Amino acid sequence: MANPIKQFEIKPLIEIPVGGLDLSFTNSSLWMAIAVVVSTGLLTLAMRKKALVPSRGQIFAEMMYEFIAGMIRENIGPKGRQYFPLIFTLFMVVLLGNMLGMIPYSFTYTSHLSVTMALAFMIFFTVIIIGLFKHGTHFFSLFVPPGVPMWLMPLVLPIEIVSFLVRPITLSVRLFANMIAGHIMLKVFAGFSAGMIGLGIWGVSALGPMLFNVLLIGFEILIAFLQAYVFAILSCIYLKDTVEIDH
Amino acid sequence: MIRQALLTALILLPSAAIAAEDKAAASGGLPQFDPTWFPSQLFWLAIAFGVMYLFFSRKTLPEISSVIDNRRNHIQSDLELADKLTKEAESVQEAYEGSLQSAREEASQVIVKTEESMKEKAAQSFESFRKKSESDIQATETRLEKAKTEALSDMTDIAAQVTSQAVEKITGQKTDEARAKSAIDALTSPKQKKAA
Repeated sequence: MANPIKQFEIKPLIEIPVGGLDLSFTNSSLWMAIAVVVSTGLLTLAMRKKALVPSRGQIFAEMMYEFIAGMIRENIGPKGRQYFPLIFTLFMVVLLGNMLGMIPYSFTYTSHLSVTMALAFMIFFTVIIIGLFKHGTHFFSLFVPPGVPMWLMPLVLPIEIVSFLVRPITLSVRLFANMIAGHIMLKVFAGFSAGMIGLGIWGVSALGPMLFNVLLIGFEILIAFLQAYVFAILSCIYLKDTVEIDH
Repeated sequence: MIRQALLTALILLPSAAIAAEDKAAASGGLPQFDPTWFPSQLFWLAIAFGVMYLFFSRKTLPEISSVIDNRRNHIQSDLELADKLTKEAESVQEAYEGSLQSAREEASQVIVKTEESMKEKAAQSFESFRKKSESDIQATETRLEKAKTEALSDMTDIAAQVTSQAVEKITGQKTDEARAKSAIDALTSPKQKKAA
């Protein structure tokens, strides 16, 4: 039976050793490059006419724009406009990573914890740096929720600090775990089909896992979009702390 | 037959590939936790993210926002124009109704004036006719009166003459006409006074 973990293996395509570091262009890097080309290319193609009455492609591009703009407006507020390109890029990187990963034999770079963690820590440090820069020490009042009695503070303060520090972990692990679990499941069921045929079992019993896989792929495409959405919306919620602290 | 062969190929091809991979599969944990590729992953992710960020923030997003703003402005200006035109039409209608109203008032005034002047004219002509006819009646009456008195005074003379002649014929005596006249006057004067 096929090893369902194999699909996550990184293979160098062009070896680029820089000093002691291995910065090789790998299959993961290739799919990142494909994501860049596809996202920028499709959006440019969709917006090439800049028509007052949009074409289908332009409607799609405008929908993406309004989707992210609405997300920022609702979760950060009007001051969140400065983060618009950041959130848009973040959403596109994750969405393209998840979606391109649904193509058979492709590589899902969002299934790698190093990638999702890099994105999550980028948001985390953006929040800390901009938050400290804007609010100064008042930024730490983030850990003191309003309306909590003083005697509860020794309990609440550590909880708040831990929940703040754990944000990049949960953010990255959520995406990583969803992607890896989905892809392993797809591979396992594909492996069932292949294995049964290999054993000479034909008919419904071999087609069963394959049909289930068809359903699963639809489900995984939903997950791919949903996780990109969740990643972007949680980033918005975290970035809200840099704009205003309620108390 | 062909369909079945295709299906078989479709199922067998991945499994063959998987089998090939399987042979080369190295044992060990998840490739995700192999730190060998962390620098490469981070490096290329940073590049990909950076390129996308620059492209989106410089080109795609301003383009989309300008298109959306442009459309919003277009719709706004169209709505404003429509609003303006509606107001203009309303004011035109108001002016039209106003002029219609004033024309109506003028017409009714003209009618009233004409009626009044006609009435006045009629009254005037009636009055003048009345005066004229009254004065005519008056004149006729005075003439009649005059003729009557004349006739009466003539009657006295005639009566005196007739009386004197009759007396002369009957008696054969010469009579004084003046005396006869005064006698008749004395007789008729109370009558005449009564008539006056």
